[in-house]
Amino acid sequence: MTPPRIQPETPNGAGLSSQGDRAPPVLGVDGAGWAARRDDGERYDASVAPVSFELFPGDLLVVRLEWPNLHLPLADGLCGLCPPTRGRVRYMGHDWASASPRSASRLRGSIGRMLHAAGWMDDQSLAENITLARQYHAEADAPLGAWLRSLLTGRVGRRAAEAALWAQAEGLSRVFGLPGLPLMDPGAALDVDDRRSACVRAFLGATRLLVLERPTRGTGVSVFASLVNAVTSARERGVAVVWLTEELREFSDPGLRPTLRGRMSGSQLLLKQEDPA
Amino acid sequence: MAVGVFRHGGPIGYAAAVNAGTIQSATGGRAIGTAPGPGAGADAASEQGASPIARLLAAVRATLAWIGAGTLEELRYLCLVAATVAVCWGRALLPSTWRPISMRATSVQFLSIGVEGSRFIAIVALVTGLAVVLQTQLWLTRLGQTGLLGPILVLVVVRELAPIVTAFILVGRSGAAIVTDLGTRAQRGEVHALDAQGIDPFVYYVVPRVLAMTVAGFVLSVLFIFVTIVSGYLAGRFLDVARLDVLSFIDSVAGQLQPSDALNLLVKSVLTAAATGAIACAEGLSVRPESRGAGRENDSTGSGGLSRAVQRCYSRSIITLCVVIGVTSIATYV
Repeated sequence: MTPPRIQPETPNGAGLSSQGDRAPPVLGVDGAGWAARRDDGERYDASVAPVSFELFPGDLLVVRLEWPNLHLPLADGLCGLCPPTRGRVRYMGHDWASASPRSASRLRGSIGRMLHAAGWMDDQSLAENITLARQYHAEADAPLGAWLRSLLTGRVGRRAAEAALWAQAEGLSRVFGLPGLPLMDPGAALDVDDRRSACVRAFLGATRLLVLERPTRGTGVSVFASLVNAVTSARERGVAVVWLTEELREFSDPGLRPTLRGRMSGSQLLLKQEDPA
Repeated sequence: MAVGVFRHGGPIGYAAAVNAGTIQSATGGRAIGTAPGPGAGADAASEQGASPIARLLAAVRATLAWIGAGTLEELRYLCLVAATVAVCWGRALLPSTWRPISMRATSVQFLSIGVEGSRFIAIVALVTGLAVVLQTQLWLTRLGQTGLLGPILVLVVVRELAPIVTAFILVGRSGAAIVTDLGTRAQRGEVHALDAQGIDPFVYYVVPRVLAMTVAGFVLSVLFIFVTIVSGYLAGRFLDVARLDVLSFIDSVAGQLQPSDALNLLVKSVLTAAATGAIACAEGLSVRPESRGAGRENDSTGSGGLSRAVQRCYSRSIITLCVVIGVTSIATYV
């Protein structure tokens, strides 16, 4: 096994890999850079210069964002929502650029995501919002026969699966400091509860990758400890994690034990390999 | 020349570059206020000191180019609408589309567009029945031509009035509601959030709305016909204008109905409603959030962007329904 390469701060494109050749990477970024403006008209506040790195199961990349409130295409780019202007991004061995919309949606179903803005659906309760994606992905694409069979016989099984999902969501809600699964409308929730609910949504279900965009924003220190515990336990299960933060306190917290640290400097993402031990 | 300030060096949108007296956007480098119009070619010719004939030809050429570009854009848009409708109907046939949450979203749309819309359609049909059917009965009775009642009602109400009025109501009531709903969701980042969680916004937002519009278009047209004719006949009886008994009235109307009338009604109502749904979804989803959309350059941001999307939906839906109804009438009856 190749020993991890510990390097000083590396400029973009140097290509960092945290774990030799142990397992296929969850996320592979090969010289990918993102423009601030997408072809479909969507726009971010800044671009990201080409960068290369790989994340293996259990890895954690912590990135400190230089500008607060600046919306970067990095998280969307890693999840295949923002095509890179150059290079490529592979998730679970699939290049986002060559994945069909349906397979890209299915792949994104295994990514837990905390978004820059929560994006709750106002016509549903927070609990429904939290479980929505997991319910959607629970019923994988099935051939017609299996679908008809599930229509006729699967009602009980579906209800049981739904109950299990709600139980898991309720447990996670407690982990993140909520008294239970929040049943109120998104507009009625406090900011801190809103953020906690977003944490629950990101960690719910069987995910392979967690992309956390400013997860503790507006919550002070109340969510941080729970989040570190949840991230640690997810990493032990083999989930790779990307954590974007503007807080120096979080970035340098020794409890995180990241495998890669990154720092945004302008549009450059400077990466440095860490020894998680 | 594209001038990209902070393209790879920092935040954009905080500065603009001034280049040879033209303000250029920091993001795209597109000169603001330089979009070519019908007189662009003429201006260029006059600047070069060309002869009057050359200037005239340049102006004509520029005008034709402007008209052609607009026509091509509308045709491209019609193709986009047709493709959206076709994909929606195709996706509706796939079992993978019908997950429980998609079925719930579709049933909500059926309720909102079809069931709740039926009351409004019934009121409009009632008034139309009083106006059109009653007048028709009155004048045909005075002229002693009650035998023409059936053909005239089929011609006016079934072939033309029902699909047109229903389509207009769907554009105004449901189309505007869909644009506002989806536009607001897009502004709040809901669409992006769905996409980020791997939920296809097309399946979750567009397919249910287009399907509900498709079914509602036909059902509401039939409801319109029924209420119009029944209310007109009952009003005639009440005012002692109708000379025909119920069975003769039904026979005179139903006897004139041809299979081509049913096909005409089906095609007009289904196509116009589906196209309205597709246009409304496309316009609603084109609205961008204030903080991160491209709308500062393409008029699709914020509340202004939303109201413009509603306007575009209305005008494009009306154009589309005029084209569909005109073409269908010609293809069916000429």
